[in-house]
Amino acid sequence: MSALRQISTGLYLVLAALLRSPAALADEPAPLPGMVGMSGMPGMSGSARPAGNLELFLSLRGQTSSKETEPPDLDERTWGVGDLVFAAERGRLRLMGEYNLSTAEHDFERLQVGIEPVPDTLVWLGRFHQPGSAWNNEFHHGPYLQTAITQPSIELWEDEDGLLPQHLVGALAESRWPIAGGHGLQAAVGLGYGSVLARDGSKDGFDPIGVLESSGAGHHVSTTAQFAFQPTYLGPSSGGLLFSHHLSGIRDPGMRASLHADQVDQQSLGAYIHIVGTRSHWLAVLYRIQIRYDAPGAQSPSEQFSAGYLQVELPLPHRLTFYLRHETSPGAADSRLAKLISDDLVLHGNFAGLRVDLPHQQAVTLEVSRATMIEGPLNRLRLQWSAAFP
Amino acid sequence: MERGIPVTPLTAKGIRLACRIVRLAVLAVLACFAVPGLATAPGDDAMVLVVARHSPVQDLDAIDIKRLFLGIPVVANGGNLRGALNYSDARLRELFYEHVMGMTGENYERRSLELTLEQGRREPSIHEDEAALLALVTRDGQLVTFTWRSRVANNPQLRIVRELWHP
Repeated sequence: MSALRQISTGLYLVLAALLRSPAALADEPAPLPGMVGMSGMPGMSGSARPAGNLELFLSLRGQTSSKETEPPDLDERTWGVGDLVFAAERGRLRLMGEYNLSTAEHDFERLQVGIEPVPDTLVWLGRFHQPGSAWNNEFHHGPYLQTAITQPSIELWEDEDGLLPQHLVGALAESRWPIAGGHGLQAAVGLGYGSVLARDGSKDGFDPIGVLESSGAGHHVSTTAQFAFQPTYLGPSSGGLLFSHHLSGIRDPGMRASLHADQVDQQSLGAYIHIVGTRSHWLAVLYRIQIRYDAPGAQSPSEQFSAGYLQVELPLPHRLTFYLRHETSPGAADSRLAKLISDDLVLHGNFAGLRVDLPHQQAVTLEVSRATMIEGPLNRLRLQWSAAFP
Repeated sequence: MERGIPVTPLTAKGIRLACRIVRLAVLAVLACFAVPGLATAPGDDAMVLVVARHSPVQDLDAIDIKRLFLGIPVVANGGNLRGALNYSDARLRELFYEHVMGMTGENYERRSLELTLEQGRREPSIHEDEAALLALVTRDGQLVTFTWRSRVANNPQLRIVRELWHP
């Protein structure tokens, strides 16, 4: 695995240098007056001028809950988050990253180099978010864009007790194209090394390959995909199918003993629909999750359960938005893996909030929730300020 | 002996009132031009897509225009075109959202930001000073913007690529 890290680090350095070097790509001749436009032509080399982009997502939040005895988890310890998205392009080459710095942790969440052979078709190498998650592929780590303060528990990140690996290191291909009637199709397929199950301090959970820290053995190749239909090409609404398959080695002996396995095979099949209208926004997601526990020379028991959520947002006058989310995953209560690593997985719960959008891409949100999680019932009240700059 | 028009006190008051109305109207018109977003085009004016006269762009279809204003590359003559948002006029801005992008202003801004977060797309530059924007377009052949037809019809440095909306 260290070889994989060295290769990826080398790749980043080479491509970063390529994007900086003026001699790396020959400058295109200046456009001649009167030449016919060739918009979106495959094979065109594009502008050789490097161009960059920076976007900063900030959030501050406070919360109070009915939890009294348990030590605070990562989510509860985090009161401030800065998420920096940076990108550079030169001709058809692309570089992009997302660096997340919070009061509890910091990490390169994504770091990708890629090529865009035709407009809106990208092939990336690096660390990326798996496309089999409906929520995380839309909002990533930018809290300003997600109307709610919290993300649904089945979509939680690995270090927040997430049940499904979300970060892969490998290759990602994504494309969108128009079809008849003004509609659009989009597809994304990711193939890469996923997570291992490991113990970090007193916490058990998935440990993906990081960009900056070293990673041990036990990572296997994951396959993930998303296929979707857009009622309006490039519009905000879409609906489609989600798939992910992860094989994760178990590094910690204690976890191996608890799960009676040395690796876990997870498959998730899902469907989602996201409707963004003028009067309401709807996001409904349902996953069917199958988990198999593999041990050498023994039977491989498996379990299946469903997990889903429905979030409805109602824009109100004065730039207010009221939202409600219902989450359910009743079968997860019997899952050995969920019980071991996902204390915060909601078996059933309701979340309600009111968000006010302020000038200059800022928002203040108040959210209340009442949920029964694997670790027990929990009521929470949260307040958040979020913003996007520039 | 010529007889002048008799000026009655009532007529003098009427003239003063008319002068006051004219002054107010002149001030209102001046205010419209001074405050961005209040200046309105004639009711029969069309919204058009504009490039520099020397730009390589001859035509852009609806899909490319949508891509352009969401930061997705559109290539013309070997160079990436860049969209520039003309936010100098509130009505023009609303028509752009509705008839070019096919979504509300709020959804457009959110979608644009989503694509930045998702793929590192560059959001189009925003301009509230139309004169400065059009001057920029005349110098940069890769820049594409939109405005009222009447604003560019007599400008030999600019070229109308297509009509985006008409009343």
